[in-house]
Amino acid sequence: MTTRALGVRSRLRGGRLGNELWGILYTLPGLILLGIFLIAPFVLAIYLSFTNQRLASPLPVEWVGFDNYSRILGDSDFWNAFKNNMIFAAVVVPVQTALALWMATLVNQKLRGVKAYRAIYFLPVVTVLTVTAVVWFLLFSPDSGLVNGFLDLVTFGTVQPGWLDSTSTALLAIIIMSVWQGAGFQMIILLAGLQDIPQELYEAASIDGATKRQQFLYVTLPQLRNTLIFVITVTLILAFRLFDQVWATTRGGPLGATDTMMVQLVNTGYERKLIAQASAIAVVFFVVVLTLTLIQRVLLKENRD
Amino acid sequence: MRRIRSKRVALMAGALAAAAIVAGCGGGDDDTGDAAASGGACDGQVESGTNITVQWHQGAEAEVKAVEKMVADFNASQSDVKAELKLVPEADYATSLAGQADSDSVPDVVDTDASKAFRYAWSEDLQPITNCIPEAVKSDLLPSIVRQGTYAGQIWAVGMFDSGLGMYTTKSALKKAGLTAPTLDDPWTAAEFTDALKKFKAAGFSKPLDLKKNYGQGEWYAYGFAPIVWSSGGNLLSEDNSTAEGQLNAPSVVQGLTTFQSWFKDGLVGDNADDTDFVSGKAAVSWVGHWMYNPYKEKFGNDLVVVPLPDFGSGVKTGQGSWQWGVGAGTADPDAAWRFIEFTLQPEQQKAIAAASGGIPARTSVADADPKFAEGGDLRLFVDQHASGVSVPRPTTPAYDTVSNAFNQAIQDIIDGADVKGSLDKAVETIDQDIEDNGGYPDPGT
Repeated sequence: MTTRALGVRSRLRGGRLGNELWGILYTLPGLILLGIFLIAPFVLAIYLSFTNQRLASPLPVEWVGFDNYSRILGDSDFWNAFKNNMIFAAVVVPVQTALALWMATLVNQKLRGVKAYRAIYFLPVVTVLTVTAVVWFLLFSPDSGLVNGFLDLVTFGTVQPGWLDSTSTALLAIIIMSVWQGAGFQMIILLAGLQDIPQELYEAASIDGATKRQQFLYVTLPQLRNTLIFVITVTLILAFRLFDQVWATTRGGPLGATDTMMVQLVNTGYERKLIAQASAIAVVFFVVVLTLTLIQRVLLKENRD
Repeated sequence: MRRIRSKRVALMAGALAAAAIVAGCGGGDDDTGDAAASGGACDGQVESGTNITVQWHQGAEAEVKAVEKMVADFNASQSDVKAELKLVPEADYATSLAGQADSDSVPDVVDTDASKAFRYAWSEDLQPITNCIPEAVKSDLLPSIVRQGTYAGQIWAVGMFDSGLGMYTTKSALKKAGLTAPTLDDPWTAAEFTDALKKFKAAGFSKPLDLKKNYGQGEWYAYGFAPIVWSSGGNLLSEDNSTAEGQLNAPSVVQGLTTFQSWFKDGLVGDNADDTDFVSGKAAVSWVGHWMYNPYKEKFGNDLVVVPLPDFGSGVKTGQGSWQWGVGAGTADPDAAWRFIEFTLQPEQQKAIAAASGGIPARTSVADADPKFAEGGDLRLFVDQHASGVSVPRPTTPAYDTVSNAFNQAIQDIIDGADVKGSLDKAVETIDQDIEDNGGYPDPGT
């Protein structure tokens, strides 16, 4: 009897049960916040997507089953937005990652004032995205913008794209400003990865007679594998969340050339006040991003040893 | 959320009933005994020590300054009610307001752009203010102000000023192109106007027409270009506000907006990215509202002329209505809210806001005393347009919010070169779907 009681007490004080209890207590604040701000809204979105919940409406909320989903999936505007998201991701993920890697190797050299270069390359990241977008909007202005002014100078007026005003170049313009704005962030992560690579590997490689190019291909890239996978995954997710730049400049136009799923979501939910239909878009969006991330994880396995 | 709302509605109904009883028993001093039950919750008594929040859209800087001063003056002028100003950026104003409505946190005094108020009237996020407005004030308001604020038999919103829409040009530009200024009696037809634009272009104006494309897709498109629909003989919605079919996509509207599209296709419209096309001399004509009068007048002085929009076949039409005050449904003491609104309608305040905005003061007495709006004044056109039925209110229905969004999208697509008929058909489909989704927007209380 006494021994059993003692056993329980010692378990509570420092034994396994005690540890578990403390563990739960310590994670509780985080779990509560995640629950309120991530899990609850998500569950609510799934629930709402099966109703006809509207903003600012006195009418009763009704259960509508899959109506919202069939409306979205039958809407050519949604598929157009989906297509734009796919093109954007397909271009931005490789281009931005490559550019970031190139910038990271540039600022990883032992140069005077290299910290200043790092800061300069990182500057666009700390600028508010909306501000960046407005500045680029003015730069891209077909009549009076700096970009076309420059093109006019070097091509003698033969190349004058409409940029954000033209259906054929608007998405490209959004891609350019996004890559310019986002690459610095990936650069910093890759830079940290680069600095983690032991110097001896390069020394050994150069003793073996490896050229700079071979060193990059056979030492840097394999060593950066995990960092690169992380960067690519994050860039992919961010690419699908494309919204700020578009909202601040074209709002999805011209003729839907820069429409994205996020723009559709905000338009449907707030401008058209169809919160339920917007929730359905959010659910579809989640499924798309989850699927792509899973495919990516299967294709690119991280090296954990 | 729904539970909270219905509870609040029940409370409001209770308050209304109580007010009605009090008004009925009081007898003598108030001979409109049932006014409280039918026209809102004002009882004419302001409870001392009431704090109210006043929300204004953060748009033109001069207007914001004027409203800031107005709130300060109001607080200094009396001690019963203390108003606090809340500014919300104009670009996302509609989105912010929708969010406030959904969380039942619409401020006590809130401004909305013209017909956009009625969505919130319908959703019971605003309360009627019919019986708050004293007869003496009401009879002095411009008829267009009352008309733009009325829905389902009640007044829900009152503007401090009405808007005016026309085209600004200069005497020297007209002379250069060999043209004479059109008037309300002898306006340009759409064809004559297109021809005039080409003459302006030939006279050296590289992008002769400024349509404020820089404002982007938003209420400006609806306000600025719905007159083309009306002038072409169409409408945004049918008379009973039940459908857009056959109205917005009528053949005459397609024709009118095709002319509009041709101005873009023929390179007659500048993108006005930095909002200087007209003042820099790139454009000869600026199609815009009263709010650009002050900056233009400053630049061009007596050279500036304001002329009516072109006639697309069914007479010149123009917009009306501007930002207007409403009272949030959750406001405990609507009399306190009204006291602020009434303060903004006083002659001194009317003059200040009219000077800052360039808009037409809501009170006839103030407008008549302003030389700008008097016979022969620069902006007399705007007053005449309201007086002669040239101006058309945007449909006063809760569906307007959707109508505006769908129409704005169609205008954007038409500007971008889409098929005109196809764009309008798509807008009609969106609008009719929305009206159906909302059960035809039954009047509140039915």
